[in-house]
Amino acid sequence: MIKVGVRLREADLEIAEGLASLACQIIRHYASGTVDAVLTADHDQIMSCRNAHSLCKSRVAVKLGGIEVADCVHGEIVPDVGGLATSFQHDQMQELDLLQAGAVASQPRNHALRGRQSSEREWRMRISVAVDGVTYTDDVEPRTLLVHYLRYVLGKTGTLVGCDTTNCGSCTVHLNGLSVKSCTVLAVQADGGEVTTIEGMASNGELHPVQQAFHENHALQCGFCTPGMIMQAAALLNENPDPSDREIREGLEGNLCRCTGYQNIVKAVRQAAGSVR
Amino acid sequence: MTITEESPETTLEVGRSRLRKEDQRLITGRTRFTDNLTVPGMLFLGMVRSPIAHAKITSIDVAQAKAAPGVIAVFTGPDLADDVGPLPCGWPLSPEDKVPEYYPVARDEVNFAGEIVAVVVARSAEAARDATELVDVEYEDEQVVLDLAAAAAGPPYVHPAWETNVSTHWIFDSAEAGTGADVKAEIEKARQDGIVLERTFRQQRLIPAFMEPRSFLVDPTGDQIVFWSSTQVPHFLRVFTAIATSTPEHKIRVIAPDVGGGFGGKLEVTPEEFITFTVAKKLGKPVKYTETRSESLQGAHHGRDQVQRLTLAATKEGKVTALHVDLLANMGAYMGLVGPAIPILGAYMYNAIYKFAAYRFEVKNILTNMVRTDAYRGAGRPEATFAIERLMDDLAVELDMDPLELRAKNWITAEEFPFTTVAGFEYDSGNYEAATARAKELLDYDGLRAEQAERRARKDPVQLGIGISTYTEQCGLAPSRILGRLNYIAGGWEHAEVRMLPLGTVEVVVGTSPHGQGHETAWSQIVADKLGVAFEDVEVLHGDTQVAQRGLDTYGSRSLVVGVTAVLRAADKVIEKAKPIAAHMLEASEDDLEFRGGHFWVKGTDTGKSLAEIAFAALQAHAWPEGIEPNLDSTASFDPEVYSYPHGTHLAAIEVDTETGAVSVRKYVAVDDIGKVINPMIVDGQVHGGLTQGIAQALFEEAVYDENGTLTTGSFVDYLVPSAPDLVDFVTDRTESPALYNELGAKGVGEAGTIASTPAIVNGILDALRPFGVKDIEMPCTPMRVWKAIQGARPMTQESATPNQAQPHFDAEGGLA
Repeated sequence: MIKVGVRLREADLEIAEGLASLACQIIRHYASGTVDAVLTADHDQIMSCRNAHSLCKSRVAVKLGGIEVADCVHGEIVPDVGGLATSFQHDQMQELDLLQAGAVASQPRNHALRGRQSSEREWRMRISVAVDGVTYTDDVEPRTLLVHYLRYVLGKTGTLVGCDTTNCGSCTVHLNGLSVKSCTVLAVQADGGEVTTIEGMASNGELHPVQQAFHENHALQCGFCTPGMIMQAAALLNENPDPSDREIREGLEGNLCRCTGYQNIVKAVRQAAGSVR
Repeated sequence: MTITEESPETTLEVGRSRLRKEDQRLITGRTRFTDNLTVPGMLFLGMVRSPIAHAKITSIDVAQAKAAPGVIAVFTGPDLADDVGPLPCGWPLSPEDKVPEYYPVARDEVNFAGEIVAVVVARSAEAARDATELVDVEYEDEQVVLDLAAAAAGPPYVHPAWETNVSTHWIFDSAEAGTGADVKAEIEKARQDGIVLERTFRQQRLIPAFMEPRSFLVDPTGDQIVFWSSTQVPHFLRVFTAIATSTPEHKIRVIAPDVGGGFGGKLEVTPEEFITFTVAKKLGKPVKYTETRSESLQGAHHGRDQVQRLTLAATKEGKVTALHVDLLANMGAYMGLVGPAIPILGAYMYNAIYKFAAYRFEVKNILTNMVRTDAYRGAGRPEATFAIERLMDDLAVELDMDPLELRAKNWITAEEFPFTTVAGFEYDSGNYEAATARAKELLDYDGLRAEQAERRARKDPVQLGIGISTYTEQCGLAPSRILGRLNYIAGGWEHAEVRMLPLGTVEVVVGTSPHGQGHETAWSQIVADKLGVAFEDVEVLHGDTQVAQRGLDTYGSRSLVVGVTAVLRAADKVIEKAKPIAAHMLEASEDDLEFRGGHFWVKGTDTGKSLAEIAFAALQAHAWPEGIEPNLDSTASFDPEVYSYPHGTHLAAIEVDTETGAVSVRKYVAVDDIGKVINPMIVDGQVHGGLTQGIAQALFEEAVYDENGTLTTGSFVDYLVPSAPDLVDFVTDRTESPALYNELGAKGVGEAGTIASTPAIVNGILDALRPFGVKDIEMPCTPMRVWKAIQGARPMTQESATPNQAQPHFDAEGGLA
C-alpha cells in the first residue's frame, strides 16, 4: 500500500473537513498496488476517524496535472505523514490538482515494495522558499533535509554538514528569524518561509558585524565550523544583545569547533555585541 | 647564506599579529571544501561496512542493490582485485614487522567493525546510500581480539597465519646506544638505597574528529586524473595511488582544496580514497564520496591507545637517575600510513627536560580487531609527556617536596644548553626557569597554594589542586637520515619555490599543505620582510601537486621550521640572482651594492633598483647581461639536521567537587617557548586549540569498543568533543629562546598545547584529592571516575568501558602479561 499525503492549505478545520469530504481520495493504479490517501489538515490538525470513514466513501474526480486519473475506491486514514502538497481552489472543490504529473509519468512498472518507499517513488512536494533574499520554487522529496536542499539543489555550499546527529551545528542557518540546525529541518518545513545563510549575512559588500569581528579576533582557523558559528552568534545577539562571557559560551553550546578552543570566538562575539548594540 | 642588512625599519611584518588572508572566503561561505565541488555527470559512492569486528565473509549478494533505482554498479573486493592493491604502510619499524595486507574493499574477511565490504555507485548520494542497505552480506563470526594484554600474550589472533598479535618489538637502550648508563643497574641501585616508582598508566583511544568529514572527488576525464581530497598529504596520496592502481604518477593530479581540520587525522592514505579513484578510473566517470560523521568516527583512524608501564628510579634526595618505559601500543587490525611509528615518535621524549643517567624505552605494537590507530596531534609525545609529568608529581608526593622544586632540581638549567640528553639528542636552547617563573606569576602559584591549604583545613567540599606540566617536545619533522635509521619510507625535507612576477608581486610555492594553520598569512609576512615587498603582494600556493609539485606536506609541526627554511633559502637565491642584474642596471660593481628593503642600493647613495624593476626587466630582457638566464625564480629543498625542541610550563588551577566528582578548570596558564614568533595571534590560536584537545583527553574523550568490537562512541552524542561552555579562557604568554639551527630561530607550535595540557589537568585533579589518598584516576576523568576514586574504590577498574584498562601494579617478575 502506498500512502500519499494531501496537505490542505485551509487553516479552519471545519472548512478543511468539508473540502476533504469532497476530495479525499486519490487513486493511482499500478501493476500491483493501490494508493491510499492520507489526510492531513494544515497546521498539524488531525482528522478524526469518524469523519475519515465518511470521507473515504465519497467518489471524487481526481486530476493529476490537469489530466483526470481515477475515482476514489478505498481509503484509510493515517494521521500526518506528509507527502504531496495540493493546492485547493474553493470554487473547484471537485478537483485536486496534484502537481506531480511528472512523478506519475516516471513511476516504474515493476517496483519492489521494500526498503524506503521514497527512493522508488520519489514523491515530491513543491516548496517555495526565500533564501538570502531570493525566492526559489522547487519540487523536493519529503525526506530532503533543508541543508541538502541548500547545498545541492540551490548550490549554496556555504552551509556545511559536519555530523549526522544534530550535534555539531555546522549547518546552522536562520529560518524565519530563528537559528536552526538545517540538518534537522526538512526542506518542506521551510516552505513559505525565509532562510538566511552565511552567504546572506554580508549586505552591499559590507560584512555583518559578527563576520567582521570573527576576522578581527582570529575566531576561525580551518573555517569549517565558522558559517554555523557566525549564524548562531548572530542569532544569540539578536536575542541577547549584551551577553556575559558565560552566556556567550552557553549560547554557542550547540556549535562544535575543533581548531580554536573557542576563546577567540567568545572574544569576537563580545566585540560584535558591542557594535550591534 | 647571504647576509642581508636589516635595520629596524625593514623588519615590518615578522612579529606582527597580521589578520589572516585566509578569512575572507571562510567567513562569507565561499569555501571549496571537497564536498562543495561538483563535476558534471559525477557519480556517488555508498559504502557497505561490516558491523562485525572479526569474521569471514561467506557470501555477498548484490543483485537487489544493483537493481535499485539510480544504481550504476556495485563492486565487491574480488571485483576490484585487479584494479587496486593494498593500502601502504610507510613506516614499519623493521623489515620483520608483521604488516597485514589491507585491501580497500575486504576480500574474504573483515577485521574491524566498519571495514568496507562493498561499494555502491549511483547517480545520487541518496540512491547510493539507499542501495547500500540492499546489499546482503553473510558473515561467519570469528573470535574478537580486543584486550591489549591478552592480545600480546596469545590467541585468539587477528591474523592467525602469524600466530601472534605482536607486530613488532622496538627497543631503545641508553647503555646499548652509548648515550647513558644501564637502566637495570640504576634501578637496582635505587631499590637498595633510593626510591623506585612503578606505575601503569592508560593512554585511552581517541578520535581526531576534525570538523570536516572526509570527502573525495576524482575526475578521470581530462589529460590528468584530477583527485580532490580532504587530506593533509596530497603528495603522499599521489605517489601511493600511483603505486596501488598502477597509474603513471604524472597522470595523477592531487588537489587538497579547503580542508576542514586534520590534526593528524587526515595524515593518511585511506581505503575510501583508493576506492573513489579506482571506481572513477574503471568507469571513466567522475566519482565523489563524502563520508557521514558516523562513518568517520568508525572508519577514519584513531589515536593514542597505549598501556604504559613505567619505572622511575631516583635518589633519596630526589635526583632522578633512571627511567624504564615499557609500552603496549594498540595498532588496530591493520597498519596506518605511519601508524607503527607513532609510539616511537615519543621514544626519545620520556626523559623530557630532566637529566637522567639511564633510559630504556621499549614498545610492542599489538594487533586487535579495531580500526587502525595512527597520528593524532602530538603523535607519541603527549603519551611521553603524560607519563613523565605524572611520575614527577608522584615522586614529589613520595618525597613530600613541592613538585616545581623537584622538577627544578632535575631539569636542564639555562646555562647547560645546548644539552645532549640520555636519549642521544641535543636540545639546542631553552630556559625552563624563565618559563616556570612567569607561569607561577601568572597563576599566582603561592596564593593558590595558600588557598589550597585553607580549603583542606576547613574540609571544603570543593577542593583545589594545582596541575603542573613542564614539557618539551620534539618536532619539526624531520632529519631524513634519522627517518632512514627508523625505517621510514620517505624523507623529512621540504621544498619551496619563489617566483618573481613581472609586475613585482611574488608567488611562493610550498610543498607543505595547511588546513587551518594560517600559513598563507604567516609566510606572506616572512617573505615580505625578506624580499622587501608588501604583505599583500605575496601569494602563497600550496596543496596542488601540479602547482606545488614537490613536497612532504603538513604534520609534526614542520611547516614553519622545515618548510619556511626552504622558502627563505629560495628567496636568498632570488636575491643572489638579482644582484648581478642590479649591478648591470646600476652600472656598479656587485661589491658596491647592498640589499635592503626590497632594493639594491649603491652603498652610501640613494641610487638603487627594486626587485620589482629587476623582475620586469627579466620579462623584457632587453638589456640583460650576457650569459645569465632572464629569470629570477628560484627553488630550494631543505633537509633539517636536527629536530626542534619547544618547551613550556603549564599550570592549571583545578577545582574538584568532592561530593559529585565534577572537575572544573578554574584557570589555565600556558607559558610556551617556541623560539621566534612570527604572528602572535596565530600562535595563540594554535595554543588554544591544542590545549583544548589535551584537556579533552583528560576530561571528556574516549573511543570505546564493547565486547563485540562495536564502536559505541560512534557519534558526537557519545564521543564528547568539548563545546564552548566546557572550557574557560586560557592565559598565554611566551619566553623566547631562538632555535639555533634554522634561519628563523623558530621551533614550531602546532602540537605543543596538546602535548602539555593533559598531564596538567590530571596532576591538578590528583593534587586536589591528595588528602583523600587518591593515587591515580584513569582518563577521561569523568565525574563518575573521580567520585569513585574519592570513595576509595580502586582507581579505574571494572566500570571501565574499555577492555584495555590499566593493569594493576605489575608482578615481581616484571612481565607485563
